[in-house]
Amino acid sequence: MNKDTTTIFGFWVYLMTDFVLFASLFSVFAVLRSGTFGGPSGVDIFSLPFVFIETCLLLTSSFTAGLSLIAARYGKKIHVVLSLIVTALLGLAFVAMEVSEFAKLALEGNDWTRSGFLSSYFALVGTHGLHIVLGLIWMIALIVAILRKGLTRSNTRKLVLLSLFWHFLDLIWIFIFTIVYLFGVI
Amino acid sequence: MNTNDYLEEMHVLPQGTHMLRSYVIGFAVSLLLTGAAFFLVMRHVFPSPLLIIATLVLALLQFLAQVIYFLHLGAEKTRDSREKLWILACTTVVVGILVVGSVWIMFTLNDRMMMSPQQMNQYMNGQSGL
Amino acid sequence: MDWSLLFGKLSWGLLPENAVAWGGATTMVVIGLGLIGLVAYFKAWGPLWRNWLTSLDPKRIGVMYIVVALIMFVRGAADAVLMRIQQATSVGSAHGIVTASHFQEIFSAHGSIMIFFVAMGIMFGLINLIVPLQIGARDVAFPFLNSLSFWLFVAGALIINLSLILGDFSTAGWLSYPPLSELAYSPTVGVDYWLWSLQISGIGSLLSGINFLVTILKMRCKGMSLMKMPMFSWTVLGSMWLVAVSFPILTVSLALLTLDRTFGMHFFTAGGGNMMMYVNLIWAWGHPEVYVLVLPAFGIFSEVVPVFSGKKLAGYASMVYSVIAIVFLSFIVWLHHFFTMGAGADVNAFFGIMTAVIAIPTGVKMFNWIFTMYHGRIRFFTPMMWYMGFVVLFTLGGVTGVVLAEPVADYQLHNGLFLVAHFHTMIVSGVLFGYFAGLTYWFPKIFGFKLDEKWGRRAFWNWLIGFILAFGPLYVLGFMGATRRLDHYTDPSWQPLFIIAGIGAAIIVLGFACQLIQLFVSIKNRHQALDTTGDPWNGRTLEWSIPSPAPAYNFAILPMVESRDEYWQLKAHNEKDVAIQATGKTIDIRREYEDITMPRNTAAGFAIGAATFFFGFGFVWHIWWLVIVSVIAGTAFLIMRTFDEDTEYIIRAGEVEANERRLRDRFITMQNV
Repeated sequence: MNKDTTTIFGFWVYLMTDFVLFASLFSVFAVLRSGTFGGPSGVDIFSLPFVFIETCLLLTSSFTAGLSLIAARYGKKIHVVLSLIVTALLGLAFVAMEVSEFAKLALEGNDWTRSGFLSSYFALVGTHGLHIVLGLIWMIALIVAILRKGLTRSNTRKLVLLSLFWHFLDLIWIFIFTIVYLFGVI
Repeated sequence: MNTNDYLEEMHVLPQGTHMLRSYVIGFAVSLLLTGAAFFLVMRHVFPSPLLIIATLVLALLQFLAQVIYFLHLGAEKTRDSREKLWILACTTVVVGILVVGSVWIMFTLNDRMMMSPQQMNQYMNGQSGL
Repeated sequence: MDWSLLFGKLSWGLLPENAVAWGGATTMVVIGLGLIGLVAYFKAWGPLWRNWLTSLDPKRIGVMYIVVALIMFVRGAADAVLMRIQQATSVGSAHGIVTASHFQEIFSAHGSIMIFFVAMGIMFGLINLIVPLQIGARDVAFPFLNSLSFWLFVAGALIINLSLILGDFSTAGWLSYPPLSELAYSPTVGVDYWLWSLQISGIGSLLSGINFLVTILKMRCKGMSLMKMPMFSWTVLGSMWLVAVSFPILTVSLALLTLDRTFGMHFFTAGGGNMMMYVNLIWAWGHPEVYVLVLPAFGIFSEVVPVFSGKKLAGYASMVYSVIAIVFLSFIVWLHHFFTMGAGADVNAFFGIMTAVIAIPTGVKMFNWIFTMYHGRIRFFTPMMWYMGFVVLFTLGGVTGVVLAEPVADYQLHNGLFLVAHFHTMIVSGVLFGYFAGLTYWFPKIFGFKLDEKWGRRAFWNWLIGFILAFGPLYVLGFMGATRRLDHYTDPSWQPLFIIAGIGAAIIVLGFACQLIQLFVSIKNRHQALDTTGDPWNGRTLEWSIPSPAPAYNFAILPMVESRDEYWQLKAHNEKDVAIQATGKTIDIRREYEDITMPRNTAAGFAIGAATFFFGFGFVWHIWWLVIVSVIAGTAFLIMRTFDEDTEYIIRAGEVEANERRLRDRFITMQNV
């Protein structure tokens, strides 16, 4: 068993714990979904086309994260960096859209103190957003590290972990898209 | 320097040269499934209960597609890969128990409350000034 | 000038109010200063820092876990004694020694401390000490993460103790149910102390869980398939899996309550929230948590009983499957903690049946231990005594658990002293007795000498009799209608039983005193009780095949395993060879040694732990600049650590050989003496 495989396995176990964390937030959302307390429900505040664009951005970034791994396999440093930059930009666009959505809600008076439903909405989607932001910081650090030292063993390992993290966040988003937004509008 | 070897040793990508194809298929399938779910809901093609089941099935299919084509889980027949798959399966069971159990418990509790969340919402809407 | 920007909610008026609270605060300060003074007196700062606080050696981290847990035990036990005195004296017109709200703080602190900082602490201590040795590994999978977990645990422990001195502690019980724990009903910082203390140590536990799960799955020596793994490691695997999939739920429940209290969200308050969701979530973590604690204790008994009976463990495979069954079942019973909160009969019936079903795999374990003893040549050393106490009391506790598992009976007994007596039977006689057995059993492996038998027996008998006296009456009181958490009652007929319980608690304190004396006496007489062979109990598993105390690298040559009781088999096959007989095959200088790579010590874990402590403290008191500064500092330390490439050092083959030679020579001299 070499150390890199062990680390990747450990990261996989960490992702599983994150999976349970999101599951808890999903169950809170499912229970508090009807707790609108005189405030708006999903139908009133969600714009599906807007969220559809967000979803496509994140999905594409998950794809480009995969491309960076392929580039790494052929040892093409520039391709790795380029695909990471594209991934980061797509992720940034996603975060920007999410922040603007949150800001719009807050300005309309529908912030997280408005109702149990909105609290659970902000907590679930916000936690995902926070993960994306952490992933972006990591990605920038990694781009710098790869530019400075190239595709060393440790940088390659970090690239693998980051791509796992990024794919995982897209997996979670599938369910946020479906359960929060689509169900909210149905 | 060739990182090829590093990645090979880490056993994260399947053997062979079809990796790009794998990612492209995964991407295309995911886009298609997302688009389908979006379309179904926007047009409200089915009655609501059926729509919920349909979108949930589409989401699960996309989950599977990404696990297979993006995470390449189970592509390598190593002990490591098998253990990852096991851990994912066990976690999924726990997640299922947690979500289904919580919803079941909380809904029967709500059922016995004097005022359901929906009634509370109506009541609050009826109050002036809110 | 607005001082709140600088100091948040801190002010002078927050120091303790009454004599008992002052006593608690002073004691903690004295203990703290005493420890610092002791280190200063022996001029031990340098060695302490270099050899312990920055160490990544799991054996040293394990010892530190146990030391912290024992200090916390003193605190938790003091709370317990106060409660027993209060309940023995506060009847009718008498009102005992503490106020009602202080009493609430005491029981909240007692529960939180005993579970999170005593039981979890000793458990992670033992796991750190033994698991790598038992699976034939030199280290854990992620040594730095291990140190970080420990320091997060310490940060949590400090935060919960700080509440003695600054401000107050939660009055909402050890699980802080809303609405009582919400800002409207607990406006002071008490609940925030509770939240941050548990959140920080809980994240530490989660990281440890991941670490040991990976260690056991990935670092086992050659030949050790899962079905050849020693039972203790198996139970730890089960327990760590439970940590990995249940602690995130705790993180979420605590985080949501924090959001409610700090940012005015409505998860568990009126305003669209649902307080029952908190109860649901916290028990979805809380029930698995009970098994997190008890499974390693089961594992310890599965090691102790075969060794002291001179037989192999009966029904190894069934023991493994019963661990797996318990792990699975522990996730589908959580509702039995709130049967009476209004779920329907179908829900209650399902969870009631599942709860009762857990008795089956647990019974399998009980019978297997007893079958192991059957026809064995039993040696009654202290670990075996703890086991005997456990068998009787745990069965009793299990049976009362099955009673409580029936929703119908639970409606009568819930929130009563019957329940309190039940779970103390499980936690004290199951978890604590198990850990005591483990500490006595493995002590020589870590320190190189045995604990004193005489004082060990005295401790055991005091604990056993004290326990029966302290909790026996509570079962009866439960039937008489006494509810839990009473700071005062009016029925004088309860008082005699409460007094007996108080006497029991006093005897338990004597038992603990015996353990401290035992430790002292053993250190004083260590030269008579030296473990020169590395195998003081005639053990069966790999940890006994290396010298005591275990060298930093554990195994000079990584072992190859062919059977479950590998070391036992080895001894059996080499009866003639005295050297191997007594010292195992690793002290064999004819073998080829190789360079060993070990992790370098680092202060990063300590630094991140310190930053986290200030983060929690700042959040409790709403000192936002401190929160921001400590987040930045913590992140910076973490990033520095990630980009640190110089994290390992190499022990040369020559050094290893010289060390092994020295150990062998020491053994031969000892034999000749």
